[in-house]
Amino acid sequence: MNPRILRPESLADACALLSQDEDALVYGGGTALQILRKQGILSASSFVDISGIPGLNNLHHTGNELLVGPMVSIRRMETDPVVRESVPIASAAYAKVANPRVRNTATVGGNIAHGDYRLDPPVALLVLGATIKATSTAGTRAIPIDKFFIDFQLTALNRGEIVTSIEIPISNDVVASTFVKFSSLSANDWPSASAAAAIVARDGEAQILRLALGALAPTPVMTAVDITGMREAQATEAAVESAMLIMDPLPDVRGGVEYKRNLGRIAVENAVRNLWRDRQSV
Amino acid sequence: MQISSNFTIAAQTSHVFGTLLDPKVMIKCIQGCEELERIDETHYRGRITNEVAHIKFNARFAAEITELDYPNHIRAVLNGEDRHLGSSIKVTILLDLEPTEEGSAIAYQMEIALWGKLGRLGESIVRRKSLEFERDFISELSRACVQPEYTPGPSSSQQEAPTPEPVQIAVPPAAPTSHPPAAASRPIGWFAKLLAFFRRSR
Amino acid sequence: MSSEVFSLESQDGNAVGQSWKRTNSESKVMGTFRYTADLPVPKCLYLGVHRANQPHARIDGIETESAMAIPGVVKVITGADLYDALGENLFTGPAFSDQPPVAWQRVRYVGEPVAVVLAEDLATARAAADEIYVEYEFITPVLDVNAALEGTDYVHDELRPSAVFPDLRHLMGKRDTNVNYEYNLIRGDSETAHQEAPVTVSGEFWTPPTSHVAIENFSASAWVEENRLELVSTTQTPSYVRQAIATMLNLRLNQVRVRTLGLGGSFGSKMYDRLEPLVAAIAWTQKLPVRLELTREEAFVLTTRHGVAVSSRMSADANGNIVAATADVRYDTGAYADIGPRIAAKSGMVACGPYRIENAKIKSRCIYTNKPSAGPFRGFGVPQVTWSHESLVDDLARDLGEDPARFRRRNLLREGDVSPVGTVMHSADFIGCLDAVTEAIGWTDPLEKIEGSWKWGRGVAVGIKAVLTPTVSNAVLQLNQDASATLLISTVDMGQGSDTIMAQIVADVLFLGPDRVRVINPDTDVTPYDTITAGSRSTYHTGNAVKKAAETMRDRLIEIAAKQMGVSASDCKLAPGGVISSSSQRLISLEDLILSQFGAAGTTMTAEANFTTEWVPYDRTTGQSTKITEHWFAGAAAAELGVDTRTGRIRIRHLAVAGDVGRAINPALVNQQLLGGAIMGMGHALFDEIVFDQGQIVNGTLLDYQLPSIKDMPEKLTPIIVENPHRTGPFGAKGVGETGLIPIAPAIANAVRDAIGIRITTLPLTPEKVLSALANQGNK
Repeated sequence: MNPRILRPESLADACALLSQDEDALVYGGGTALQILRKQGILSASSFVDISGIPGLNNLHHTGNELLVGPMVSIRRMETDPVVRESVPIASAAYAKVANPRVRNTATVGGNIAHGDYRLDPPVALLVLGATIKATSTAGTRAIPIDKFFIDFQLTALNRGEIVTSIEIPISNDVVASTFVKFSSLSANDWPSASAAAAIVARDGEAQILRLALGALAPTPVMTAVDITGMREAQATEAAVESAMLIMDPLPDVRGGVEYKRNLGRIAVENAVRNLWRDRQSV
Repeated sequence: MQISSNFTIAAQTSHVFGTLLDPKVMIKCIQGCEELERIDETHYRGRITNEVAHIKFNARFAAEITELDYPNHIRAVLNGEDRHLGSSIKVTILLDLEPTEEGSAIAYQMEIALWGKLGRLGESIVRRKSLEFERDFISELSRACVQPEYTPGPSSSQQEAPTPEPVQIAVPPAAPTSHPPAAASRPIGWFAKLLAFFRRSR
Repeated sequence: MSSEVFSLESQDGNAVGQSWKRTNSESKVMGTFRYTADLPVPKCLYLGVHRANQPHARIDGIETESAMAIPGVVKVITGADLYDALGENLFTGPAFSDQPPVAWQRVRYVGEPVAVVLAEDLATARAAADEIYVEYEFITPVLDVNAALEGTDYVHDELRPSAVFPDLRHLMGKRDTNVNYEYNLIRGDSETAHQEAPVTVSGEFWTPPTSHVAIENFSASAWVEENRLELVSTTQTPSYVRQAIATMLNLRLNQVRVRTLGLGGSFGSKMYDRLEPLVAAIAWTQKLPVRLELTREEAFVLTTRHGVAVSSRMSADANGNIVAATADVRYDTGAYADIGPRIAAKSGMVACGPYRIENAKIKSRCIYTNKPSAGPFRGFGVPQVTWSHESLVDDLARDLGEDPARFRRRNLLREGDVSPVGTVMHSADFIGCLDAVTEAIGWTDPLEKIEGSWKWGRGVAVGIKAVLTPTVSNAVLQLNQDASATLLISTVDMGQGSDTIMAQIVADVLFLGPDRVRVINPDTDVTPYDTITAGSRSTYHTGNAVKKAAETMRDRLIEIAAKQMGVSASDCKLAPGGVISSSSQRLISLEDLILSQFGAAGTTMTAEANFTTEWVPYDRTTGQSTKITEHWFAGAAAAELGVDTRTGRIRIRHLAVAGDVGRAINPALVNQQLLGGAIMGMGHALFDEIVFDQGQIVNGTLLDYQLPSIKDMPEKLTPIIVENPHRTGPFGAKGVGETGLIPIAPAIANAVRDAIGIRITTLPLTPEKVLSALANQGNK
């Protein structure tokens, strides 16, 4: 049977509703939940629609952080000049999600709460070191993004918790950043491999390559490599070597394990090439 | 969908073979198995529940051992159905055991057919879930075979057996590593061997 | 002027050859167009279908109690209920009477209807269908064509060909086989010719099943009114459906009314027995109004395109002439034959391509498996055999060190040649099409073959298809006193633009302007019999009937005008504005003419015409026929593309597609058909595929099923109209609905072969397949 739709008008009410029913799910834009519902396989008693709660779709630039409300649309992350300027890699990844219709409906909070291993934004958030704020009747806690994705479609969110904010650090240390995405079948299909990468300057000379991969393991995964003093070829080799260790692709209609690992390797190679090009031009 | 692999258990083949036919042990080896009873020499029935990606399933199943060659070979066919999800599953399992210096080498092949609503969701969920099944099955079977006074864990999905960590490195923003990382945790003893086998086979 | 003779001079109505804008284009763009599901019907009970979750099983019991307990549920109907009411009539199908609308005693594919809930609303009907539980006894399923041929498990205990076809009668009751039909073509001595030939190529080819995925989904409503059955359905075959339902329910034809509005795409999916037997059987036996709307997931298991395996060989002599061709073609038709036997024959007969080949041997079989039933799909099985012959021809040319286009050019059938099936060729300009597409992509221009990780290549392919013969079309034309016209035909406009084209034909003959001819939506109570709207047949067949009706009307107008003016009919002709007398130069407008004739405003004149084609049935042993078809479709495609050797991805720089359409009645619509076919074919070439695992479709949702999007388009896409008028086509015209699709996949694969030197014989050409082929090449 179809879940009941509940429309609380305050965060406290939403948390209360979720605490009373362990089969209730938080409903953001609905692009993922509606698909599962229509497939007739979702085990949810009710949807707690948080779109009527004031303040959840705010976007704030604090100077050293971008605070993103969970109901901010994917489309806004793609197009908002503040996002584009302060965290271009995030904007680039959000811009690649599905198609404009979905991006206008889907939300930032729902996107990560879904926990799908193939989604584009999580890899950018991993590279940027974002923090997820989650609220329940027990209060609010901060979850670093690298502790957020636990397993296949399983996140660190507990039952009853709502993503209430994503905090993205804005750092002048990011020398260059890039997002690369490959699909294996039609161009509009889910990705078969994606990579977000950034070169971060540290303590003067030191440079760290931060690299996150999507669709290449049961969760988005992340690694980092010290590339201080390396040439492009060395950095590429180091990045690929590190990336191959964290890949654990799931075979499906889009390709087998070896194919996806190969595509992942190319995504990393292309990402490093892009970073080098951008770094030269700075 | 076919899944095949092999692993080694540090126990005699006859002992492993007997364990595989013991419903009291098997109920702990099969993730989410809530009921399992032996009806006669070759027939079992039970119930299995699980949850993945907001989908809960709850399937009754019947299993039949269609070939048995003590202590080397078992072929079994399992048929299950989740009424609520309108889905049925058929698993054909082939197990071959061979004595080795380390104990027993076990090769298995599973052919999984999933029909109905769950089947059309694509392979990734099933494959992912089967990997978990596989992982838990091997670790729990090893415990049962290797430890003489084995008591099954409280629940296979939450038991504290040293399951292999995903080879995944989480890097906090403030502490980048300076080299390509190595595996995070190093299992020890018999489990390391097991895990090595397991990884090689993937 | 007789309609049987083609003559350009007789046509000066100035509508034919013009790119009139599509009828209803505004309402379609604005979203106000009324599709079949929007047609008002009486308040219906909604149907929810419980479907099999076993590929092959005996039904031991069906528990319906918990479904019945849901408020709003009225009834649950099973196959047994319908069998009790209708007996053997429950089994229907266009070639074999083998498919029950709801499974009876046995299920044969995952997704087959097993029980149907009747409820007050759609959500309740679907929810209650989920509550039904079926007890099954497993039967070993037959999962692919090889298992079907080699194994001892059978999908059906015995064959049940439809009683109405004499050529199928010998198959009645045949047991222990999964082959429901076999077509054989034998010409010359192919075995000896292969042995003696200096060059022979061979291959094992596979084209997977695909889904039509028309944007408009399936719906049907049925109810009983005054002892008649009313049916509103998304169908491209209303006349067939009326006949099939009348037979099933043992009713007279005038007790069944079938209506459909314009369809939002079909591509062969909305043909023959789809939802109609189910809603009709329930409505008639229960005397209740019912409505069924499918979900997208249900549409995936309703019908598919045949997956086809072809084992084939082709040989050439030292002069580069093809001397022999052999093909063993296996059509995977799924659990029910549908039109599969006809597809196996009609496609088998062209399985060695449009070439002059003296020695040919083809065996084409239609084979049951435990999968959703496969049926017609744009191309009617021909793209699958074209995949084989156009790959082989390319390999032959390359083995001989010859340019593949030039090699084809030498061997292609020409006007007056006898084709391998024994029929003389007319109006099928393969060479014109081949030349057009190769010229368009700059076939002989230098090509930079390697750019970084990209390798570039060019490929070409031709396609041949016979139009369905024999068939019947009728048209009734009503000319209104104000010189507007109403055309009654049963051709279904599915987006191909038939309403526009038929209006142009009438307008051209009667000198009427755009918007003066209205085409009535098919309604079997009103519009006359038409075999089917499919197989690219409407422009030629219905077009001929329409043209004949319009000419009859023209002749009567002239006759009446002559009388009114007191001159002889031969002195008069129809001209813009009315009928004119050459001797007196007097002009009578149509409005005045009809007003004077009947003495009343608003009166009508009616003319009707029939157009029927005939054939010579093929020989049962050799497959030969002196007239296998009324006419041929000829097409060609050429591609220039790159293969990224790092990712395996294919990028098409230019795809050109040409079709000999006889004469383009509406060039814009013809171009759109060519392009639409090419884009669909490109999907089939690159990624479009139904993936089965143990009889279950694992990508049967639009989340996973792959279709070309705007981002997958070639950088350049060129449609080319080749006009080689057909002597009996209306204004020389033939159809074009399938021509653009047929040669696309091999043209792309041949370009891949050119780029990386590898022949891939299994579709689609996914990046993974390309990479693994490259890796194998490296290992050799």
